[in-house]
Amino acid sequence: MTHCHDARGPGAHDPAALTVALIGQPNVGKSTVFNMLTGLNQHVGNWPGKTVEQRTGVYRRKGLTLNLVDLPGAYSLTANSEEERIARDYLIRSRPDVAIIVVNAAALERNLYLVAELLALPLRLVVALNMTDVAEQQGIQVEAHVLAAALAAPVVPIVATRNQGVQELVDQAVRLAGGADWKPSRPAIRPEHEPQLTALRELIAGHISHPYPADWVALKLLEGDREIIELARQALPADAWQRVQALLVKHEDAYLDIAGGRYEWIGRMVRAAVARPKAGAITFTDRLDRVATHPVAGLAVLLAMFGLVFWLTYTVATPAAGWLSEQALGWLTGLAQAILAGAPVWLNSLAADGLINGVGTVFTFLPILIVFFTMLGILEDMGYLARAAYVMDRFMHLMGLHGRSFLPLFLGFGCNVPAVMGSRIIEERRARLLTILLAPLVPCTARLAVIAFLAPAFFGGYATLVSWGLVTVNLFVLALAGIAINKLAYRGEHTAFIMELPLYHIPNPRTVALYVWHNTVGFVVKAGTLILIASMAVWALSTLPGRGVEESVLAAFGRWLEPAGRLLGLSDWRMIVALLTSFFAKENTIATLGVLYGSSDVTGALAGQVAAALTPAARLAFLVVVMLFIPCLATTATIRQETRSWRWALASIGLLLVLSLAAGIGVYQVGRLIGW
Amino acid sequence: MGRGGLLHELLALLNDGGLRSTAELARQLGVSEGLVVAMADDLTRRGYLATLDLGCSTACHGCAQHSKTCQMSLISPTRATDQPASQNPAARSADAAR
Repeated sequence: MTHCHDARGPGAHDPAALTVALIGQPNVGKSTVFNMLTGLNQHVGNWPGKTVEQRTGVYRRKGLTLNLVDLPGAYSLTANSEEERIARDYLIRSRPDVAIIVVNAAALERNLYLVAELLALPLRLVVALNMTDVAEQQGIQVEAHVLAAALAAPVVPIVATRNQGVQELVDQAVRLAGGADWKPSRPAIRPEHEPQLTALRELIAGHISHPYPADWVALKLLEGDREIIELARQALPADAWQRVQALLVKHEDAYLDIAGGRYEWIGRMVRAAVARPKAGAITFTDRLDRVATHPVAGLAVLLAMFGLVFWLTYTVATPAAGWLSEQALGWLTGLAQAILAGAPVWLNSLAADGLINGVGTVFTFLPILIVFFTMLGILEDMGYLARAAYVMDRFMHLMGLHGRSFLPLFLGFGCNVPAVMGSRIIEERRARLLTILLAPLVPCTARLAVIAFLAPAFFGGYATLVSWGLVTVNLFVLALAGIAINKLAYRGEHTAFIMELPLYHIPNPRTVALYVWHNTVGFVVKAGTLILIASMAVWALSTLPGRGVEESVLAAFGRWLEPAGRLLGLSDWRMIVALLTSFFAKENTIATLGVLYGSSDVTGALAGQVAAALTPAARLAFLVVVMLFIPCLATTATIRQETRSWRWALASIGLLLVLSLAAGIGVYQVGRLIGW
Repeated sequence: MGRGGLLHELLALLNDGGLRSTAELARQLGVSEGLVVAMADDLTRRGYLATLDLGCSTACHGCAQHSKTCQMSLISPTRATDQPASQNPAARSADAAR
């Protein structure tokens, strides 16, 4: 049967020619094949009564003429979309002489499903195995002749973009349409469904009219195809329809069996025809993942990665930060003094104490942040961060933290704002709110930068161990809080997630550099705006009424909080004020200390001055509080936005305040008891 | 192969909860990873699974964090395989056609 098309112009069909339908899943190169064959001899319109584009064309070669119809991309013939309905209806009603199915050799498992469905129709089929070049690059070798033998159908390897194999494809299509043997290997239905299929065939016999094949209709009914069910409902007498319905309700999950059977068939085809990939990226990934995704070893690798990041930071970045603090800030201070020699005292003080010592000190973070972001960028681009999420989820799952809560929290390691936003995947409101409350517990890069700045001065050679320990304990606190969420909100319910882990590959230097650049620029913008304003405000409050820092408005406020600070070993009000200003941005802790301690000269002077004012127990307590302290302004605003309630935003602040102070007090008091 | 074939086996594995990689599921089912991905996509189109996008969408515009991990996409079951008949597409079709 041929398709008649009476359009004039370059795409006009020849009624005497063979009709060839091109079908395939989206993005397999079907249209490229169509364009290669038809060139300018094509016509574009819409399918009758539809908004979907219809492309027809003519292929001519040495007395051979083919009318080509480019069907819309379809994943299956189950009419889940307009495109699939059009493709299916055309194949059944118009009965082209032959169909060419274009499949992607690099994703054969996915593409063979449509082949399996097409083989159930009374349709002659040629398989165009496209993108063989892409498959080869991925180490996938499809043996076309083996696949052809397994399918008992012609398979032609092509690279449509290079016009390779396209003429051979046409030859095979013409040969098949001309009457060559056609006895393809079709997926068989599972034996337990044969009785139902037979029963359905008998019930619909004589009622479902041409051109619908009865066998195919029976199969589609069992699969639960809505259109075919409606077709049967209208065509069958009432009693026959009732019996069909009863059968369908009784075997409601038959789709899973039928589709599952097709996938088993696909598995056999792929095992036969896809040669083992060359030793390369895939087997390398597999070998690394035996460790990296192992429930125990994987966690050890992850913790080792954290340790490596901190070690590199202290080895490379801390000396650079020290040089910036010593040389750059010192030079800037001298320059400011020279420029402002005749200026009012307050302006000199603002420049030196407010700006240079405040926001200027934060800029000495840059080496630390650059090392952080470089390490994160490398780990992400090489594919490791996805494994980190996978391993942490397995651990958290064992602890009882629900996956839907953990996964958004994982995003918080860069910044807590995405963690709050990511909670949108949690449908249940209570669980979502509790997850949002926990998000600020995840140590973001800003908090880690503050730790990285202070830890070397506080703990010298033990800085790496202390930092690593703080992050590990933080994760345990997160897990414990998560157990509470699971019991309170999810009531012990579990859900699963499937994640495709990317192959490991050598990180692309440009990708990593761009990642570092974007994150560094983001930090500089934040420093130049929020932290700058906060530094100026702190300077102003620590200057007024003009009798020095110790008698300022800020000092009075800080001393009022000293009793609470003493429980943590923070006898100096400046430490408490520095903690409070971290609400605006975590880095403000350092900017505020810079303003209040007024130091900008020798190496690591600020951190050293702060360390000198505290006992070791108090230093550790301070770092613990920094790790667990209240969310920053951006996170708080996001919590307010996502919960549409100030109550939850304030609850988050309250919860973290209590948690951080309790932890800090606990650490200090225990440290004091053991003589620290 | 157990009851009902590969798709039933896949859904049964997901019933235990937790994050599963396609490689892990492929090993447990004795098939290629590509087949697991194909089946997961099929079940998603059928409504048995749903795709969750962890990305921050427009809220993260301008956020320096913007990264591949931030845009993680996951697939999760929307219903258990032992759900009442009325929740199954085939039975729903039969009910709707009455």
